[in-house]
Amino acid sequence: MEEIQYPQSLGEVEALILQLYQPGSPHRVGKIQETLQSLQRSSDGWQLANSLLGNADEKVRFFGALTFIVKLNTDSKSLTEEEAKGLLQNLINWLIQSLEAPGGPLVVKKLCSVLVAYFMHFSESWKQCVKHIILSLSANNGVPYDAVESAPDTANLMEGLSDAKLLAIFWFSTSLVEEVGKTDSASMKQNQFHRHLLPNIADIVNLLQKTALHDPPNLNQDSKIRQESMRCYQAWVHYSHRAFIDSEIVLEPLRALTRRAIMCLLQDDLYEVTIELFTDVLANYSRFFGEEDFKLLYSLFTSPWAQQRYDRLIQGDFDFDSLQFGMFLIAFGDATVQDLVRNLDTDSQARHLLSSLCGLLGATGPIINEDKIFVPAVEFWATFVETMIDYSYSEDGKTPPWFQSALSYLMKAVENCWRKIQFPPMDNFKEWDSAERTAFKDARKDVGDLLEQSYTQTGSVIFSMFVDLILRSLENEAWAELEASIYCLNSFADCISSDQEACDALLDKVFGSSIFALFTDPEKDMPPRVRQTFLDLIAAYPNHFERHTKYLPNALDLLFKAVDSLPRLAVTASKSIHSLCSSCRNVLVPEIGAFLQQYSKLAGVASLDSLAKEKITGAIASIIQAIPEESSKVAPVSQLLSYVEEDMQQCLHILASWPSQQSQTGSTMGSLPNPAEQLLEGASARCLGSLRCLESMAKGLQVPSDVPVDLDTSSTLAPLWLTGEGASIQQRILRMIITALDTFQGRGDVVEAVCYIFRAGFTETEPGPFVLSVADVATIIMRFGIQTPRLGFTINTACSLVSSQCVGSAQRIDGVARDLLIWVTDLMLALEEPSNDTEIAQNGIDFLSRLVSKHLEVLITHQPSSSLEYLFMFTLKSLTGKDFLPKASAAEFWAHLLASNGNESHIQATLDSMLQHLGPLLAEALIYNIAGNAARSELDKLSEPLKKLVANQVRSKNWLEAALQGANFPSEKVTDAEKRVFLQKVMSLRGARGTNQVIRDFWLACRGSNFAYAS
Amino acid sequence: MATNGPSYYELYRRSSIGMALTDTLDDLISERRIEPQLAMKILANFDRSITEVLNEKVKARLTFKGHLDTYRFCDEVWTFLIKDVTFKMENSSQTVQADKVKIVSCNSKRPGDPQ
Repeated sequence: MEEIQYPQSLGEVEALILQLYQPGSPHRVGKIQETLQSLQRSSDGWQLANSLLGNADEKVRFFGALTFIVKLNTDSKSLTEEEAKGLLQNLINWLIQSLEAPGGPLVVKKLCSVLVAYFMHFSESWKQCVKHIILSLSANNGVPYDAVESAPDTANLMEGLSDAKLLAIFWFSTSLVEEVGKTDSASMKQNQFHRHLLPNIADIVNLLQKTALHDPPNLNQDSKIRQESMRCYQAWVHYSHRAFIDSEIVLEPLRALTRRAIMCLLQDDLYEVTIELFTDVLANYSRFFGEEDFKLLYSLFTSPWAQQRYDRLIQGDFDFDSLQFGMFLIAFGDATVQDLVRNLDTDSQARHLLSSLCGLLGATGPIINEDKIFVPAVEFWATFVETMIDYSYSEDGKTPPWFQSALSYLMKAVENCWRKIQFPPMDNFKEWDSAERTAFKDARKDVGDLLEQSYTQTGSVIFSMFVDLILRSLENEAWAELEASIYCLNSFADCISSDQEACDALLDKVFGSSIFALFTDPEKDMPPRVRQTFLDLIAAYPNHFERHTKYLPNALDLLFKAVDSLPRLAVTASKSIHSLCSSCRNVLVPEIGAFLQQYSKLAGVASLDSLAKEKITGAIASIIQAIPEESSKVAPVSQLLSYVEEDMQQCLHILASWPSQQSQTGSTMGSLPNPAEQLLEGASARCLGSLRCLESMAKGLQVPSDVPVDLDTSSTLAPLWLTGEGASIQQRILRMIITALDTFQGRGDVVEAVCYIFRAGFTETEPGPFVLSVADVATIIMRFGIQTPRLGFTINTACSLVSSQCVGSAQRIDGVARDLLIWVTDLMLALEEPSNDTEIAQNGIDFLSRLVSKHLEVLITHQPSSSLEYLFMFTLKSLTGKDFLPKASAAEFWAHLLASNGNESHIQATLDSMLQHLGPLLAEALIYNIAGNAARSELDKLSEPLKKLVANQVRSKNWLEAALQGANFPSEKVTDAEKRVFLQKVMSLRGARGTNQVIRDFWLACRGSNFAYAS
Repeated sequence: MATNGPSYYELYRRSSIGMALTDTLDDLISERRIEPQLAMKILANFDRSITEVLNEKVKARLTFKGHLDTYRFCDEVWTFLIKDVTFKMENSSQTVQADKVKIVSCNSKRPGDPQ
């Protein structure tokens, strides 16, 4: 690779700069940059910059200006006061020369940036920088800064300045304020930039008044000058926001120009920059405007100029400038929303403005694809409703005088939204790109949110409006309208509880209409989307069906038909079936036979989506759960299970058609030819589907959490499911699980699905078909070895098992816990290091934590003792390792262990003796982390075991002291005295919450001040 | 528009993504690949970006129901402690239960704004 020679002359430097702009390999460009940067930073940098700026080539001169910036940022402190003054004059002279030199504005703009960089370092001695620049440009020479004091007024100095010089002044003034505005608060305070910028305000105002903000407008002036002038005003107004936030400084002279600026909106060449300024300021700093400004803006919005622009927008002109007007209107609405709400009754201008804002929701053209103003307008109306809510609550129960007017505008806005969220014809919609389609649906959700919010103010009125719209569009068979109306009605599902009776009556109108007949009529050619939204409506109001059971047959009939005959809607329909059956389970118990019969037909349909099967299985199981007599559940559970078994049988049948040696494991699948792979995939999908149906069944059979618990009845149900007629069901379930695992032992998703089935039983307090014997479950779990995929999740299932306590089985599971501990220990032995598989390590340690909470004796009497020691050492290794998850689990484990109490004295004694041995090691591991080795985010987790150690162990002080003074202490940044103070603080807090902060401070001290950038 | 540092809350730094970022910045400083000043700027950018992204880009919704146990409004910060909470996710029939949830909510308008 060619090396870059370090340049020996100015000519060589210039040649190198020019090479930067030639095409070349990235490596070479990088090397050139490296060489040039070292030149820039060298002590000859100042001289180099001067020499380069004298070059004829614009690129070389640009690099010269850049070199000045580099020197100012790296070497400005080396300059004496006189040298700094000389540098300033020199820079201004270069600016003047560059203005006269041929070429574009590149170098001039860069020199303006150089002068700004100069200000950032020498602001104290260059406070009136703007006037100094104007004075120098007017004299065509870099005059000494002292001359500013005796110089005439800026307005006079500006007379006769060329356009190029005016432009340079604006570039400097704009860049100056933007750069100062970017500095962080600490630097702002330290350098007092606000104070140093303030003396320039009068000069800036003079500049602006001579250009864009001239009164009357000076239309003869070059529009480039006027636009730059307006941009300069924009930058200074933005800066004034920062000055207000930091120091509550209000830049009054800039505020005096706002009315002139408003008039600039009417000038075509200034429109874009001015409207951007006003939109930004209204949205972020509306305090900047005074009462008179708002009055003027109000009248502007009622002027023919505004009307013309508004009409263009509403009629579908979404060009940039037109859209800008819309955003300006919305920003004004946002800034004045409180007045708009309160003065609606008395102020015609407020009414006019609100009508305009309402109209923005009705612009011509489909939303997103064309209409870009709709979504911001919806956001405004959300703010409007929020304001209504705020004021309504502050009126002490009385209806405020503005309320009815506000409500009527809101209803109008909602109606406009309803119109706009209607889907365009399918052919048009398909032509949109995916981002547009997603954005369209998001916009509908925004409208849904607005409706939900509006409900708090309108009550059932808005609900009634959509019910009427549904009935009307039903009659007209206007599908898009019907879909949008149903969609809107769906939005209220979570908020109607306060007005349930009225809404129930209104929903009665919908479900009591011809709607079911229409949706089941095969002759009707309605778009599938309408059906889907209606199915969502059924699922959204399951409680209504619970209270009005007369509609249940129609609803379920429709849903089952949809599953059967409309494959695209099968999943949606099955979800609705699940929702309805779960909510109305008690009412549907007598129909269980019909459900099973219906499902028997569906289950045979090969094309039925597996998710749909899963949902319907869960739905029927939830009805079975509601059967009062436990023994009456056996038959329907058995029947439902047989459908799942059929699927599993089919899976086995597929596999049987292939040579057994190939189908045994998933690991051989890679070597199979394609059709075989596909077949195996099909078989495993079927198996997985069956397991998920089992899980869905198990969840459906769970007792709902909101039913009363009879504490007096002792459970006599255990024999039914464990040894009675239900036992065969459990055996069938276990057989299916074992078959699945035997067949697909290499598949992680199968293992995971099995674990989910087990977990569904763990949460139950009463015996049931899926509350399997813990011994059976543990036996299956313990089949898994270190090579099993998703082993972490399996260990996690074992954690759930030892934590669950089945009341019905009334048995201690110590024996099972002991077996599982041996299994976990073997896995950890095979793992060797926590970092070899952090998921297994984390879950393994979590398992130990669960034992501490529920079966402490099992843990501390674990044999052989070397095995127990290995486990403790494993947790300590995790604590000092780098991996976050095992470390967090280990911290939790030790916190649990240190806080635990053995119920019996011999257990407590064993525990105490163990902790005496392990305490010093634990203290060392914790201090190793706290002294800077832990990540900042781990500190809170690590604080817990330390707090428990201090609070529970009398010798903790000695252990911690030894760790702090030990050879393994990782930091050299803290003194012995600081260590002592830390220990003293930790000990005196005795495990109180303040320990976390003490630990954080000590960690910071050990790491050093470089890490104090965040709290 | 030049709106920096003080305009955005720092509360998302305690979120898991914020803590992960801080850990990463710590690592970069330890390896002398960046200066703490840059880390400060990155965190300030994070404060702004996460606020904007959560406001503008996140469209997923969830609803929750529970028993309001305690609420307070202090220094412009609302705090709600809710017990026995059930979360319902959008497009999913699954629910998530929590015994106790603490909601801390700040004014979305930046400090210094008039409304």
